[in-house]
Amino acid sequence: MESVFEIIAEPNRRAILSLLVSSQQSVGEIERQLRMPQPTVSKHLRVLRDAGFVESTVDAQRRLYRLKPEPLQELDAWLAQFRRFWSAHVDALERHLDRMNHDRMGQTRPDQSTPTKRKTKEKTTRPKPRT
Amino acid sequence: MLRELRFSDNRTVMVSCVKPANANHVFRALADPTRRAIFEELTRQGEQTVHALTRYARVSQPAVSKHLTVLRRATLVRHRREGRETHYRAQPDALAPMVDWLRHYGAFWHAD
Repeated sequence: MESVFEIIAEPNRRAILSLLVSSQQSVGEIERQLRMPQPTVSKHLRVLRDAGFVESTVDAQRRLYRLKPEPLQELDAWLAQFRRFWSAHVDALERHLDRMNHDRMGQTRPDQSTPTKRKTKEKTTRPKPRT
Repeated sequence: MLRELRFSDNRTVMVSCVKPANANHVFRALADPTRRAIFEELTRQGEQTVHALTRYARVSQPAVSKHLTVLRRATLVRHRREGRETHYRAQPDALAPMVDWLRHYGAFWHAD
C-alpha cells in the first residue's frame, strides 16, 4: 500500500481531499466542482479509500464520500517533529523584525504595514517579546 | 523575507522563505521514503557530506545524489562545496507548503 506521503503527492488527490473538508460529496459533485473526468475521480477515490483517507456511505441512489482523519493526523505528527527547528530561531527572527520595525518607525512612514504589525492583529498563541 | 506559518492547532511560528518552492515539488520530494529519511537525518544531525549520507541511506552514491537534487529543487536542503566534498543541510522552513495545506484539516479533526 502507498504511504500517506505518496498519496498526497498527487495534486488531484489533494484537490479531492480539500473539497471533502467542508462536507461529504458524491462522485458527480466532485467531478463537477473539480472539472475532472468521472473515471479520474473514481480512480483517485479508490486509491484514497484503500489508503484510509476517505470512506463512503450509500444515501438513496448516491454514494457519498467523506474524509477520515487518521492519515492526515499521521502527517501532522510527522510535521510536528520539525517544529522545534523552526521555533529555535523564531526569537532571533522576531528580534530582527522588531528592530526593522523600530528603524522604520523612526523614518517617514510610520503607518506602513509591516509583518510584525500584521502579526499583532491576528490571533497568535505566541506572545510578542518585549525588548 | 519572513512570513508567518500557522499550524493545524493554530500555533504560529515565523519562518524565512528565501524563495518559496513550488508546493508540488515539496510534496513529490517527500513522497519517497529514502528522501524523507535523508531529510530527517539532516534535520537531526545537521550538516552532512554526501559520503556520510550515502553510508546512512544504504543506497549507491549516484542514487543519493539524485535524491539530493530532488530535495534541493524543493528547497528542503541546501549545499555548499568544500574541497572535494559537498555538504548538505536541511531547511525545515521549506515544509511550509505542506503545513499550509494541512492546516485546513485542523478544524476537521479537532472538532471530533
